[in-house]
Amino acid sequence: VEADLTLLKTLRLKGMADMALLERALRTGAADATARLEAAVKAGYVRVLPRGATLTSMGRAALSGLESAERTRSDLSAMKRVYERFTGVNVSFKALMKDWQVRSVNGSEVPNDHLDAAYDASVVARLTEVHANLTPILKDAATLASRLTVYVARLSDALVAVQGGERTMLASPSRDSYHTVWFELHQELIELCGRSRAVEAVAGRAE
Amino acid sequence: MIGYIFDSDHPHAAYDRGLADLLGGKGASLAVMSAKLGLSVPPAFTLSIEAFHRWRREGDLAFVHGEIDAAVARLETRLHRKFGGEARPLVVSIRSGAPASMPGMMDTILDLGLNRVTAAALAREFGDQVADSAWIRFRASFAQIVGVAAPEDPRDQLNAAVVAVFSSCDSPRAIAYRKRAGLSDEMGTAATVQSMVFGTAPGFSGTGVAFTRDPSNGDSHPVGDWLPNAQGEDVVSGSHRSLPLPVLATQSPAVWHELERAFRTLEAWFQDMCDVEFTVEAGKLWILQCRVGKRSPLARIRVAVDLAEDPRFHLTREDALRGVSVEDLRAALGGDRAGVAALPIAVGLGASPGIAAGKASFTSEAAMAYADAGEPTILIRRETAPEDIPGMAAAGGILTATGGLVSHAAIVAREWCKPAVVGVETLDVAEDRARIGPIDIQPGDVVTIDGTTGRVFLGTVEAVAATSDGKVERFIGWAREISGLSEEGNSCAVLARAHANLVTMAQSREYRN
Repeated sequence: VEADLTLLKTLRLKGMADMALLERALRTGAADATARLEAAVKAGYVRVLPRGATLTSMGRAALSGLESAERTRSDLSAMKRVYERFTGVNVSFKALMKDWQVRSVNGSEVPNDHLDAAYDASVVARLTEVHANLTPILKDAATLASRLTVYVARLSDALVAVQGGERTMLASPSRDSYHTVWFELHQELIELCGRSRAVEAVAGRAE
Repeated sequence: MIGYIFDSDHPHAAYDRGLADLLGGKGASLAVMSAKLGLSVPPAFTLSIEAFHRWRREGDLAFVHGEIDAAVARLETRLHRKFGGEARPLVVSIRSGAPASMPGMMDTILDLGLNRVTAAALAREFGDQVADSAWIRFRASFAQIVGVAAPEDPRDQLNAAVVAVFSSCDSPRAIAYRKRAGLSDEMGTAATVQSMVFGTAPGFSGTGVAFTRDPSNGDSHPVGDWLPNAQGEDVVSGSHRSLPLPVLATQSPAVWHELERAFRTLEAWFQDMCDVEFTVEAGKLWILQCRVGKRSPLARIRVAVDLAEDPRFHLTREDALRGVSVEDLRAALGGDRAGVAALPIAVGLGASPGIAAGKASFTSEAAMAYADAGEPTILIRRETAPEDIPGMAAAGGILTATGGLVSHAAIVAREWCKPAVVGVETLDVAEDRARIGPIDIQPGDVVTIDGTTGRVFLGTVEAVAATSDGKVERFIGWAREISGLSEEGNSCAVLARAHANLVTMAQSREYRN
């Protein structure tokens, strides 16, 4: 049986995921997600712990092989150009995330209490703009690695939820929030370029 | 017939706000402790606020002289002492007490009743030193407060002191204060006369101050100072070396047992943590004073949670939420700085405020294993990837070598209100260990991080890591329930929303009624 790149990669990116989280990331329906998870468990790539499913060392090794095969198939220099464009949008995204969480009041930084609706709306407006800037970059990335298509839907859903007033869909680390998806997409792009986050971090781009 | 004087153990129909309008704050507090709660309080009597008004109208105390004589006689009988006596003299204090706090009123006169004869008697009973210091204290305070040298006759001393109390209600300072505070000039004051007890008496004696719970962190055990062979003023003046309160428990288990019972009684009455002054005279415990105790923001949260969960208190979770301000929560989570005495081993960027201490873990798996075992842990990573999120969820704090204030790690940590220090350039992280200069950090070594200042310490720093405290977590959980906000989001914002919802709920209840 061919190992399931998308499933293994999703689990690696999340570290650990319960069924609900996995379903939302794969977006192929509950039955499909369950069947694929079961197959991966059977193959010895994944084990299911009380907190959720996680890769075994065999699963990690299998994934690593699939990843280098994927990189060989794709246009590496085109992917690197896509990544450069992404890092530009990333800076604006990170800045708006900080402004969402922290406000400067009389010179000192305090947690945003989210009681100022106009302020929050201005941050959401910036998010809409960032999303618009990301969309063509993400489309180009998806033509280079079709797996990435799912990020379009995941990000749009999170954006719609935030615009609809569901505030935790902007940053909640335990939901498929805009930041959670962005963080994973960022990691995908780094790895598709054959780089490591450690190197990117030192170069100041992993931020 | 209702007179102008009430003994401290006189039973009242109700022990509410109205009692302070009759007896003043001090007199009402003594009546509660003595008549209502049955605590051992030095016997006292209070000249009511009515007495003040009649004195002001008539310019004379003659109308109440008979009642004062009778009240003094009752003290004498109860204590087997004699006012002005040549043996076992009765010695009293006298204090003002308005229905509302009023700075500018006169200070306390202590040891009233002393003269050449009674001071000598006191010296025979308690020793020269006790008598000498009481004598000096009395003459100085009387001369300063009443404005004349103390007369020889104790009964004349008492009259002059009562007049001084009443007069101080119309002192320029008191009038100015009432004007500023919008209080009526007709408010008046009471005067309370209380028998003195001596923490310097022969035998097992001393004085102390205690909080029924720890005011620094809210731990539910009493803390305070115990001064063997000392008088109340010594506590404040710091002239005696004080011992920690538990010493009293070993020196006299019987006194300690009675004191603990008094703590429980007082907490049940005040429905709050208390600040209690007491004296032991020759093995007998006397409760002198009790107030609701001042406390730190962290203690405010933890005490509120304890009281809401304790069936002896009729406080609800909503009461707990109402009693804690957003500023308190912010201070408890982030305002406290890790102890200045400890030297940090490294300094990075404080990315998410608060202090956290725990065993070092270098992988998500290790962090989750500590969390499953109920042990606090700090997740240490060179940089964080999305796959570290489960480990960050399990950890009490996050420490990274790279990254800035807008890094993904910082965003996640802030979202969870977990302390985080990022960008510690001197931190060298390997697979299962880390190094900071010459210092090796192995898995399980205890590390403390201060996400406010960015400092990193080896070991536990003398500060409570509020963010990994179960009581604080429960408090935030209650706030989430009332706020209607889901499992995530900034704790301070959640509390602010909970407060707003509580107001709305109260208004709609009022509307329905």
